[in-house]
Amino acid sequence: MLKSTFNLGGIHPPENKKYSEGKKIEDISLPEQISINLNQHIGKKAKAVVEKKQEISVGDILGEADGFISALVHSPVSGTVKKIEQKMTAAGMVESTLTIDVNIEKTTEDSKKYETKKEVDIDQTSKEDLLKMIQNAGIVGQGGATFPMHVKLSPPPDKKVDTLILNGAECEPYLTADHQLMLENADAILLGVRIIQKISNVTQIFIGIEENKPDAIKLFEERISAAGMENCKVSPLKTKYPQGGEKQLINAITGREVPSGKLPFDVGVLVQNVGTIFAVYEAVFYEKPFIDRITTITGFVKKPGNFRIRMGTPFAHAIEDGAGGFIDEERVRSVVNGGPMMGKSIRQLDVSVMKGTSGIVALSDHEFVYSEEGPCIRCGRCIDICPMGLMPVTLADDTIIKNGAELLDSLDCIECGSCSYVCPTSRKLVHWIKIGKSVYRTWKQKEESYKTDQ
Amino acid sequence: MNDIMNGWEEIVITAISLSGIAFLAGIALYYAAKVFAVEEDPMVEEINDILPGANCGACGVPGCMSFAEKVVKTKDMSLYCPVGGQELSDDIADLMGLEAIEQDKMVARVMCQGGHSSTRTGEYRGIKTCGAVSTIHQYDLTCPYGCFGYGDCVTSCDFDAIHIVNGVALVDEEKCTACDACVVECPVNIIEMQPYDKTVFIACKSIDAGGAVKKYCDVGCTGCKKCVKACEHEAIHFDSFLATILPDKCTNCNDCVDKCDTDTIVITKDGIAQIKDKLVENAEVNV
Repeated sequence: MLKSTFNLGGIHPPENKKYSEGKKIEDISLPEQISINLNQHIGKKAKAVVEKKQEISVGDILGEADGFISALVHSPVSGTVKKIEQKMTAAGMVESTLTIDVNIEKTTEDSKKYETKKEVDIDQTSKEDLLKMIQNAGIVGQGGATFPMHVKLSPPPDKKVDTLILNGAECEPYLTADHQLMLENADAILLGVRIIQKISNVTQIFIGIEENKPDAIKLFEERISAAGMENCKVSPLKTKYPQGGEKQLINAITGREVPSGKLPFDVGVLVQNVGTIFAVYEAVFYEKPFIDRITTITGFVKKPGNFRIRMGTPFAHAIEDGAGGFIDEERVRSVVNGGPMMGKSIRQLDVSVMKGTSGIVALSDHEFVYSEEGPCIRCGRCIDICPMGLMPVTLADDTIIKNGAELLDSLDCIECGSCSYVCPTSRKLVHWIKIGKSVYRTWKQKEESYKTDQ
Repeated sequence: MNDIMNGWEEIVITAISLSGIAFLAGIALYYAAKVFAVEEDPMVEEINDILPGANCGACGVPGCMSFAEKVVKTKDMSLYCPVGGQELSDDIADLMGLEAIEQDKMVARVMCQGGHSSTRTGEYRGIKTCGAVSTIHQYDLTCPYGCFGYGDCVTSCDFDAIHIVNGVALVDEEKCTACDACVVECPVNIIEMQPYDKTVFIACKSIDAGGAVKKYCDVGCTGCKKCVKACEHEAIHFDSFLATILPDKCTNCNDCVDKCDTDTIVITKDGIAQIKDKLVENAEVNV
């Protein structure tokens, strides 16, 4: 069978999934202190509704959604709020952060309420109720962009969505969390798909899985035929980075192309990560808010694996307790929040797991080779491999010499990191383009403030 | 022979007709220049000649020519060119036949002297500009308020008045023209405009509590309030663990400087901020 893939560019970085592949999902013990920041999603940050020294228990709301594109933040533990302060998050930005002293016994006790499955008949429950459940659970997209789920599920009325694509590609090297989740919870994910199908009335469903996960492809084909879901199909995809990018996935499976500056629902497609779907399943059947997620801890650690990890757990605790610590602390060069291609290196280990943390990757001096930025030799490799069909070298140069509106083009970049990866002189192309984007956005904001002033 | 004559005729006809057109066009242009002439005050040109020509925009209008036009149009002597300073204001007032208004000379001051005496949490290996750092991590030092020291202000300065010395920006106040370029450029907003003749300032912006500041910086303001008590002129304002000197009330008595245990209070001498002695001794201008 011909495997589908996107039509432009793409790279083949070493996968290195062998470290954590096939490792059962384990729980990480509770840390003594967690810190939760209130901006874990795209859009407006949540508003704190708890005070210092307040007693809280698992599932209590810590931050309320402030506006439509915003999400609730729940407490993953029981304990006491110790302080509310400005602190650097794993994403590198300074946000107001709640530090909570964990009452370990009470947390274990309180968490039991999420273990009994409720009887829910999806066909009998109304669309609005299901959407409300998802909104109340504070679910955001787990692929990395952290877009609030309830917003994604309620597109503007003039946009008709007919296709749901389940993103199980997991093209980032090292990460295996989604793969393991698919293997262990195939039926749950299919139930989650039915919930989404009910809400958004899609007529066809595709499950995109890269061909380096043959066991997952086989399992899903079996489970789908067992569940008798006729409009649901597994589409095996070529192993190529960035196959799991939203726009690439749509192009690979449906052949449609998302226009510049538009969103997937403009071409009638809804893309959801398998982790997100699993969270939806838990929210509906267990009434469980989005307080933990499946994350891969891998790389230069003693016991790499896939872990169910509570939000707010400090990276240091997760690495120490779950993965058995670094192999040799002296040789660790970088710890990445997310995958190695798109993730960000963190600065200190006391930052905590956020809703978007799909992996914690420790890179040793062997894997992390740094070289100074050299001059462009005009080889054009970045142009060949750009999955968006852009010219990264030109966009990067634009950032240096241009200003304001002239940088509009850089907004098309999906920051997948392929160009920086292939550049023979190690130019930091994605970083330059990111700067260009921020310059453009600052200009745009200023421009709009002038307009409102007048 | 006939052919040659014909050639001459053609040349003569062409020459006459073209001169005719030129003459007519000349008359048309003469009248056009009369009818559509734009009245221009010769004063604008004169003032533009004595302006520095830096086109830096520090005066608040786009360039030197616009400044000259605005001065002539509004006859407002409070318009001030920071590059030319008081001298230039006097000259413009002479030309315009008006009275000059006294203005304080302002200079940019970097409210941080952390640099190499402050700790860093990680090793940043990306593009070496402050703007690039701030797109990835909101701050570079452990101190969230400190100067990164990658020198975006140095590149923004048209007057060679700011340099990175020991990991922190340092202003040469003799050269500084208060054009605001570095203030706009700085992503952590660590540079402020202050009057030149007030030679004492507190070089810290950290609003963290004393204990936290001590952990990450040798020269940060810990909020001990000793300077507030020492000041007889009530010129030191204290808010959220940070003291700031109010230039309006300061008398340059330097009473507070000796009282500061962390050497956070800085005196400027000969136009250079005398930051912590040991730093200045082996100061290296690495621009």
